[in-house]
Amino acid sequence: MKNRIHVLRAERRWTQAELAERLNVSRQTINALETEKYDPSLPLAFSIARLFGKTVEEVFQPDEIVPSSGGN
Amino acid sequence: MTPKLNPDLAKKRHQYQVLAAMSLYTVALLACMHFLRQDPPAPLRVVLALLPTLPVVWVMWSVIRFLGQTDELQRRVHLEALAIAAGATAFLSLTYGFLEDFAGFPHVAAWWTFVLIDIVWAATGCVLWRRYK
Repeated sequence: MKNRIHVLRAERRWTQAELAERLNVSRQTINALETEKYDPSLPLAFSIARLFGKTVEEVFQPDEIVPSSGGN
Repeated sequence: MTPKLNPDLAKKRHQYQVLAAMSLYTVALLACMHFLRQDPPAPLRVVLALLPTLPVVWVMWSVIRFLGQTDELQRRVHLEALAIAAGATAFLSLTYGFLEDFAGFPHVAAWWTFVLIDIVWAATGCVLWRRYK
């Protein structure tokens, strides 16, 4: 999953530690999110989007859109 | 679930608690060994043997609380590392038990499993974190 957390944080001139505190997660987790090594849970994704005043889709984008095959 | 305490603070508090508990453990172990040398009666030996495990209960309680207070990624890494450590320790204990019983290897005390699971847990945690860096 791709995300714009790093850009949105830089726009607000927050450090990783500040963002971690606002989201109530550890700084390591912010780093893992920004480097796209970790995809957050839905509640955390919504908290991140809400904090930046965006929708989830404005912050997170899937790597590629896979058309639904209607199950296998 | 959103933790109430910041995970970085929760981690620091957990580390202080472990440090305090392990200091107490060292004192309890030294006291236990000191009194055992005086050859106390059997019931007292049981009490003395159990004495150093009390601070370990404190450590386990602190671990459980930390896992409840930390964030989802921390919890995931710690629990995955713990699962691997539990599996590895169970397998190694079984293997060494067979070597001891069937191949005459020297006896190893059961408390080594505690040391082993902690070492493997910490090492596995370090390896797993590299995925997210």
